[in-house]
Amino acid sequence: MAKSRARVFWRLILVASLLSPFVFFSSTLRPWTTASQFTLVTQEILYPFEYVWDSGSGFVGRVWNHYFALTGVSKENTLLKSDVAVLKTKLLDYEDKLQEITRLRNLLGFTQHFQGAHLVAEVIGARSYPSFKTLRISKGKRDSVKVGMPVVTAEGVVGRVIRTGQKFADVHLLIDANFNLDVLLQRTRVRGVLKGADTHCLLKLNRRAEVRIGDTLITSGIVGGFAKGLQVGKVVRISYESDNISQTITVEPWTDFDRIEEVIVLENHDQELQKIIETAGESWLDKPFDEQKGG
Amino acid sequence: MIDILERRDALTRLRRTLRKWRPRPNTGSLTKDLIFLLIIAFIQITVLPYLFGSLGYLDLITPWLVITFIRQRPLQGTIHVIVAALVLETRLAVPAGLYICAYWILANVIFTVRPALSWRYKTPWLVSYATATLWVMLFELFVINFLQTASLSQPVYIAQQVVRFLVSISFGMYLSREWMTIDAEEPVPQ
Repeated sequence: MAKSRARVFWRLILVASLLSPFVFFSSTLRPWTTASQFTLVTQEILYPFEYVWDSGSGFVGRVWNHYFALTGVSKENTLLKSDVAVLKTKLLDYEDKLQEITRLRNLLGFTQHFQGAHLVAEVIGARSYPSFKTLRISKGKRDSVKVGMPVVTAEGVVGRVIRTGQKFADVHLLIDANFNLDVLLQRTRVRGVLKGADTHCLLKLNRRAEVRIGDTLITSGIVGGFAKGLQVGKVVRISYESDNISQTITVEPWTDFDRIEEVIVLENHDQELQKIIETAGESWLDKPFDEQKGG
Repeated sequence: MIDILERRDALTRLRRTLRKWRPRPNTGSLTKDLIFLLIIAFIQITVLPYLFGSLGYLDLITPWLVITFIRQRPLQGTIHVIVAALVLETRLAVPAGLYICAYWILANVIFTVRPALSWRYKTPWLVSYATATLWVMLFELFVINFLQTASLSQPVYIAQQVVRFLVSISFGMYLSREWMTIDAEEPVPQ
């Protein structure tokens, strides 16, 4: 009797596990967020080790590069000295131009597009899995990093904070397939939604929109918390769809994701999103889009 | 009497402690098993990609879990599934539930078939590792395809997957070598 009950129980478990992919695929298919704090316990445990590993390996690398691998340093020094001379001349020229721009901006009443506070964070564990792209940075809840905050470098947009631990935060990268960003073509001001695609990004536009190879894309500043005018990438390929209506633009991000060491977390995050989180709680982020609209 | 003859010098004690804390699946203590699982996850996610670059995205957790599913009771196996899946899912930008789903199915299939196989031979272990790794890879691949992520035909991606598959099987076979002798104890809990 007990044996047959156990057999029935096991059959039920097996059937339930075989049905689980259907439950999984009917979910939102979004990564875990900070709302489910319990799920981050393992990361809170592993983070100190990850930090020590990253700092330790960085230290070893620096010692090797600065004290042992010094072949060609003298040659490089001579080259650098001549480069410095050229750059000094250029710098003078740029300072002149900068003053000119400041004057013109003041004249036109142009306000700098980004005035909010920001914080600089170190990248810890920049290596993510090939198909799911994230970065881990060394600033978290203790430094007031919140979900949804935009992350950039001097080159351009990096991504957006997806979840936060006490001392770390995970950044969803621009090149991840789940990442969408509202952008403008800088030259023609055509607007579209950029989508990550592994090593580059894709933008679908109407075929009539004028695009050229080399055009620069900037953030539109309309949704997503990114200030207007941040550099995103450049157009490297244009392919026309067989429907004769649309064209797919391949965009190469300005940021080199393999070489990022520091990033800037912008604190002028999505105000609307923050208001919603404050009112509805962080669990709102986990709800499916239809429920969010309804709620 | 034998107890008196036992060596108790510092070196022997150190050696014994090290042997006791040698990272391996199925130590007999759930806490120790979970600590070792976290260590393996740390090596997989942080250390290997740093050391081997784009070919360092290996899968050590799957063979580790396969041994757990074969050797341990279902409850312990399920706890391992949850911890391993959460470590991976909260570190990467994968859809929540991907690894829980893949590992839970794997666990239940192994729990169901394990009493029917003799684990003293190499073949059941080899087939288990190959099937498990392939299942996790295909499940990921299906999700990537579903989300229209990476271009799957890229040579680097294919190379990564082939290396991952071979390393997983080799790592699993290395871990389970102690149970693959003809006089070994049958590892499945009866």
